[in-house]
Amino acid sequence: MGLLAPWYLAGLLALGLPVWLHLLRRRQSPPREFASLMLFEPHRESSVRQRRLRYLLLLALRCLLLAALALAFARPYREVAGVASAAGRLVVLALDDSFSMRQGDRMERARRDALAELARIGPDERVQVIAFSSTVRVLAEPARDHEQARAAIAALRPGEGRSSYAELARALRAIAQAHRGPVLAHVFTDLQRTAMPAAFRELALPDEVRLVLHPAATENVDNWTVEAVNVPSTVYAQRKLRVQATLVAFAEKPARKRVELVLDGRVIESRQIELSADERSSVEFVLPELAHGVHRGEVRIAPPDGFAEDDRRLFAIQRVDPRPALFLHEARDRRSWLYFSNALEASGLGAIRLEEATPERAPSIKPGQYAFVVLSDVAGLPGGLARDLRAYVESGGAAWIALGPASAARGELGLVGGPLESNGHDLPAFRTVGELDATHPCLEAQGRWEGVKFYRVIAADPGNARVLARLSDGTPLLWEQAMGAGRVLVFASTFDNIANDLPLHGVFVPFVERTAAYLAGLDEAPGSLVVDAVLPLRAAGARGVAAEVIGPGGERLLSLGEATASGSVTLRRAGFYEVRRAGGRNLVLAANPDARESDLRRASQDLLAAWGNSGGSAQAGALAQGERVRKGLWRVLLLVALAAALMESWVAGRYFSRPSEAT
Amino acid sequence: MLQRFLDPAVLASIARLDLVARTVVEGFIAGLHRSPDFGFSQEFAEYRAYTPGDDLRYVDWNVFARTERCYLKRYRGETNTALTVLLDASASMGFASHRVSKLDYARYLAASLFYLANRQRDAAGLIVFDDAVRDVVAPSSRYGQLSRLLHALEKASAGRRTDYARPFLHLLDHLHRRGIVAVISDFYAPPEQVLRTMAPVRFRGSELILFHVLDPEELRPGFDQPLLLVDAETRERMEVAPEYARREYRARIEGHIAQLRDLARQAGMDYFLVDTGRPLDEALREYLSVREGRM
Repeated sequence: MGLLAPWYLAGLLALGLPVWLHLLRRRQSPPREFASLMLFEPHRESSVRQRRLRYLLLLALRCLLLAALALAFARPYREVAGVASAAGRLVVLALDDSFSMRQGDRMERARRDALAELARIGPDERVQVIAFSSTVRVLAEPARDHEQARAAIAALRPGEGRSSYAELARALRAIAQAHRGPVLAHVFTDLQRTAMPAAFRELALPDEVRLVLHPAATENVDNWTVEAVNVPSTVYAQRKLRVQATLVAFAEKPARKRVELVLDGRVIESRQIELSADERSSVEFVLPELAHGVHRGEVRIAPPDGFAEDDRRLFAIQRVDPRPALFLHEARDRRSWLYFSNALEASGLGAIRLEEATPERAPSIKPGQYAFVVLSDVAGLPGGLARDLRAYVESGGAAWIALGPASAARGELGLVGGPLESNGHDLPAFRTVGELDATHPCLEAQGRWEGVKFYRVIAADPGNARVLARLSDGTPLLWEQAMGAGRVLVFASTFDNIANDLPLHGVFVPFVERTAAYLAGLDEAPGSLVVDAVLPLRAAGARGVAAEVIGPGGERLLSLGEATASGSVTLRRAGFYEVRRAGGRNLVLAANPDARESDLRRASQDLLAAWGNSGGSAQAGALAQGERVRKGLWRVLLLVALAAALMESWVAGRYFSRPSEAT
Repeated sequence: MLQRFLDPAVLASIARLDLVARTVVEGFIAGLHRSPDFGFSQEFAEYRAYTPGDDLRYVDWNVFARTERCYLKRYRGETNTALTVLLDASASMGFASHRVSKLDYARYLAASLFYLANRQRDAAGLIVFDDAVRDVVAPSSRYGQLSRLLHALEKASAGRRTDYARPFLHLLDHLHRRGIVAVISDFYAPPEQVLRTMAPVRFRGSELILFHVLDPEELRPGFDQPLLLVDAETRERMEVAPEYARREYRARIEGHIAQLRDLARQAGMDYFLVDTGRPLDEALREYLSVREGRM
């Protein structure tokens, strides 16, 4: 017998309460004068004794209720033979295959310990083998066939994901729920502290699960790693680039390391750097002017330390020409072009090269060559261009429509269809912006557009479109509408300073820059990701257009079916990936292991002990030997408390109820 | 409307006993909706020639005006009726489970009877007793008698134990003519003993009326837990269980009442149970109804 939370026994002090109350009640009954006792009989005193007995019964029940509650919270247990409780028990062997298990002989040791534990499991017990990192994978289903489990353990190799004990705990909870019986979980892991969740409650295990931790690493290992490389993924101009690398020392002593910048297999620059213990340092390199095309690079530490696999961080960079974007406006409207082009130029967005055109030039325009098309208050488009533009957007292109007097004269929205509800002349003075959807990429970090006045806004029904901004009277000002695989942004005013004074405000530049980047899809091209990241392959609804992903080993990651239907791909391994998205845009990106995996220091012993005790009153050592297990008694005590409460209510009810008076 | 003034709790708020008596009797009579001439001796009996020393208040001046002779109007009751109230002022009469104790209620009852008697010019007297005779007001119909009676009632307070023998011996010594003797008590004594003590009064031709005054708590005790009870007269202590009080005690008190009533009626006495929790006019109504039947 024992107690897991003996401090709750302090609750037994509450027993004094009913005792005190009963004594108080007795003291509260002073002698009472009565006219005459002539008609009372002394021998009826025996009835009072019965009453006293009932009082004692009531007192005993109340004390029993409180004592049972206090004891239940103290979580008493009794030890029973483990063999006796092994029947119906599921043994789960969980092996950590995260990136850090590549260090030294950690994986080998985990496999060896798991196989040894498997050999100790009785033939009647069912065994399940799982591997966990940031996700949990079942390697062998629950079965009494231990050979399958043995083969799964032997074949397990370390991956490049990040370990998460919260995910493991979640999986164990699910297993216990499905099994509906006792579960003994042996976990073979290097006990990394970075694998612990921020909140301990995420590690909580149900009472049915008993946890035994088998450390795969016994001592902390000094390690240095490249935590991050800051470099743009795409370069549009002929210029030198700065590459900034952040290095971390997970070590107790300072060290001097050589840091190298490698591009396309050639060491570009090498630096010697002093790394302090447990600190971050940054190193800056200068990349020479890049030739057009994709370049694979890395920043690495030399010479290799005790964990050589994390001594480098990959990055990909490509040099491309700026993509053209078309600004279509009426010949008389020069102001819009002036303000828009200057704003884009001022933003420094080199990825876009803006070209202007008027409808008169329309026959020679091919929309497909542009990153996006701006229709700035265009009265009308020639039939051929309107058709080409619609096809361009539906196949994944983007357009930005600004509405003004010319659009109002036409009376309809044009590209996306639908009538205009007003010509914008009915605004009495000016309106300001009432609502702004700051979560949309086009409007991020632009404040509330305070002070911007709109003198003329063309009212239109956005239908099911996502409205990004409304005026103070509720009139839609900016909305995004899906059109096939592409998207159309409608601005219900103009880019000049006649219908509004937006171009005269500072928010106009970021608004134009972010919207242009959004429409051109520049935000969708990250330079590098961490392993297990999910990369989107197509816009929502763009099915039927094939995508392709070639992994670090040159293998195709998508089957034919997945290539036309899958919306994303998970990058399971570190290395370079070549991606051709459904929109036809190609990119190369690098995947690196999560830098937190490089911190090889163990979690605190207290935390691990607390986790080991969070399950069914398990004590790791005893359970590992399978000698005796602890059986919790709190349920029994709660039942006793419940029974005492019911009895107390019944007895008290009988005692204190006043029978109806006969009149 | 006047009925509410007969509630014991309302009467207890009236400080002066004469006002209490007037409130009870006038309110009670007003509620009858009929002639108040019943009960004592309101009915005309005869004329008698005036002799020196007679009270001039009773001279019939109409007859004198017509005949120039003095005649006195005589009523039936004046010839043979005198009300004597024996008020038990023992310690047990001081018991009260509500605002009005049994002794208070007994005082109201006695005062009402005196007021009625005085209203009809009957002689009335009072003997207050516990284990001894503590106060005596001899029966009389003279002016100021009502005040003396009420004053004696005011003075009465709960005393010691009860002894019925002494007041009745005193009564027998001073009972010179037949009349009505009203005993107001809680009668905590064996009924045979009580009746044996009172029987000589009945043998002398007087009518005996027993007003058995009991508190509602004595009739229907409502304990919800065991209590240590102390006898108001003997100071004896006894622990009493609620079940006993609710069942067996009730049977015993009802048996006691029934025995007292039966023995009283067998002895030619009137018996009225008076519950101090109920309006005072109930006792009066019952009493006067019986008296009317006797006339």
